[in-house]
Amino acid sequence: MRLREPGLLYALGREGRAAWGARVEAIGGKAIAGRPSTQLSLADRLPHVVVTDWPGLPSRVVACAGRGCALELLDSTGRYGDEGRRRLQEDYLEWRTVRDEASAIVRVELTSELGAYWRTLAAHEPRALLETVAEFAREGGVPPQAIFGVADPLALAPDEREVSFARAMLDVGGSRSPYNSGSRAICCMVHESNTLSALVNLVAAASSRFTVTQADGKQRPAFMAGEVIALMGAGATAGRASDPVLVERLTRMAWDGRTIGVDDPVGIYLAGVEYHRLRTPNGELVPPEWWSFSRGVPAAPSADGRARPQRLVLEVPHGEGYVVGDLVDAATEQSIRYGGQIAELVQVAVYLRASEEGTVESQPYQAGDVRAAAPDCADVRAAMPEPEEPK
Amino acid sequence: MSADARLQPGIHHRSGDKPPPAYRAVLLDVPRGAAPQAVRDALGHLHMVSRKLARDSELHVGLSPLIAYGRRFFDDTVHDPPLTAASRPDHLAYLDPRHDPFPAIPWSRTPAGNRGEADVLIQLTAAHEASANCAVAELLAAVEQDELSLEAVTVFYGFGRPDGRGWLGFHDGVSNLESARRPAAIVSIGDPAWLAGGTTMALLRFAIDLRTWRGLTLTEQELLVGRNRATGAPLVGLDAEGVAVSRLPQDPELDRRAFVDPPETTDPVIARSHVHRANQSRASPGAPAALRIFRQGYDYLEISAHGSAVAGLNFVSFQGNLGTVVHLLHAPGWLGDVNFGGEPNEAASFITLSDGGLYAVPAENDPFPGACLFG
Repeated sequence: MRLREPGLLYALGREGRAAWGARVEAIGGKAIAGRPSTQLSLADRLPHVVVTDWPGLPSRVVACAGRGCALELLDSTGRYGDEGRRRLQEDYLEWRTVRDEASAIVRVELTSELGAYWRTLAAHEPRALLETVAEFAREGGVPPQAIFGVADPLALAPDEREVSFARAMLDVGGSRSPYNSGSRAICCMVHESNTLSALVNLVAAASSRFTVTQADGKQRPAFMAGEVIALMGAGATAGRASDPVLVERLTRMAWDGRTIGVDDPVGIYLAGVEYHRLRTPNGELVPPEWWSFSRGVPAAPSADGRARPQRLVLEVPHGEGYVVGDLVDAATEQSIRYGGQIAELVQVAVYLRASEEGTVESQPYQAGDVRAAAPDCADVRAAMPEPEEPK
Repeated sequence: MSADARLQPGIHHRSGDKPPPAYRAVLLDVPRGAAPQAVRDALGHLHMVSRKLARDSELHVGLSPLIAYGRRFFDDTVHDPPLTAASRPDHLAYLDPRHDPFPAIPWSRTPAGNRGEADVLIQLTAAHEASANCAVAELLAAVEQDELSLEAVTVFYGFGRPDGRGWLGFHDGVSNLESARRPAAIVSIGDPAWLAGGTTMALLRFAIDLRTWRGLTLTEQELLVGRNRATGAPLVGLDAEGVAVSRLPQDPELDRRAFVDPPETTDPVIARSHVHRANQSRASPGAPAALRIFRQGYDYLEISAHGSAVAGLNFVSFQGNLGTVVHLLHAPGWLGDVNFGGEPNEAASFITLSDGGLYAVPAENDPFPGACLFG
């Protein structure tokens, strides 16, 4: 399968592109194979693009902890670096905050790049990958050991190099290189839900016609996120910004009789920013050029007019006399103390494909009575600090 | 207890509870230097008066009073001593007086003239204009005659049309949430905790430039709205001549969902219409990113200082979190890059904001909603 690189990047050579296509095909094929009722198709060229977007601040974490506490948790660090990111930045957008000696934020870097693509880069374009990491870290060069786990990654075979890279940079359960743990850089997403497999599995599972049994014993279509997520069994989490809206959109299109696909190039894109909310300390609007999009084409030169950047950096130019931490969100009147406040302004998007209505007639997934899934807060509450004992 | 059990009256979200046609918003400020206890007593007194009026079924037919607290109430730079030690909800902020409040909706007059920000707002809905007017008169009389620690700022008027249409000539509120789903969109989960079981309100008074609107062709209007003007049916596309095509339900009962929530469109022109921009995914409130709110708007008509008629909409929305309506009006692709509908930088602009404010609406409580704010 010939697929373009996320963001319409051109970093991979012929072998790398073939490997990327094979990887996407394998993940998609596996997701479809176990689901006879899915209307997801990787083979069809579907005519229409359907955009689904959501704000980048994880809504489940905010609902569970309260916004103030959530912002703190999402930026929290631990033994292995940015623990808040690894555990809780779950809506296909991850970020790091760069702070000065006084702990004021000087830069926020956000990414929606998929680990799967970076694995492909590691296998097939290690030199280019090292240059990209150095650029992200704003360093003249980076030690290969820190990125690949070995001093000479070029001596490894591509598949060995990929594994070694993943162990060093993506290991979600333990230590990660400072170049992807937030201490020196952030390169691609590491939360266990922010993966290509998770996205494709969700799309495959939700692109089905689910039914629930009513009190009178009749079946009715299930449209609500809570009930569909419960019927899916796994693959989506209630309360998130991303999963429920994707699930409802997909299941509705399935009931419309559409074949559903994922747009090529597959990826998670930063479709827009709520620019108008951010103010300088003088109360002026923050100029859009202080937001720097990269790792994907902007809307203007894109053939279909759709923006596909995957990286965004907010920084105040030198000489202004203040930093990002001095900016104010006019919609909350709060100065920027956490990266999540910037994530809240970012629209994250997935581009899906759809056929005309009524082109497919799959079997409804029959289900019995179901209790709608509600947001589970256990992991968030476990991450919250213990309340202080009254003195 | 149902999720909406503690909502104040005046949020007409339940099945069969159609918003009555008369609307008033009485905006009150606390005088500088007023003691919090005196303000608490004043609000308790007004609450008692308004509920007593609501029990008078002969004059105040269907009167529903609701009390809400604005950003100013929490402003320690205005109130010394502070009125409350309670946390302000994060998105309960002033509408920016220096810049346009929303990226695609400018102020209609100098922002310093915004009359929509007040310490306290008492919303009154009633079945008759007389009922609402008499209730306003009684409340303002109580403020003045009983020397309460409150000052009247202004009263906003609004009305609902018997034909269910608004100034644009289209049916209004067709896309509103189904009643069963409304509590999930309206009720606050409690961030901060004192707001649990209550809600938040946006009151945005949009002035409508009817001359510009009426200068558009019917097709242009329908494409901006996304519905057929005569029937309210959602548009599904354009025919070969570029005329908007709508789809009436075959079976009104079965197809009601498709009528209320327009079907998924793959036509880019239809996708940019107001109904699609304001409700992109048509998902339930169980999907937070669907940005669902409950709208309860009322038209208004004012005569300007120059003697000309100003038509507009009291856009009133209730949502668990003000961040939802903030996203809706700021996000590109939603309503953040276009004045009403259509293509950014191309579509007609005919809406400005004359006045507005954001408010917290605490749950029912003894002795009155929001009494807990005073400690």
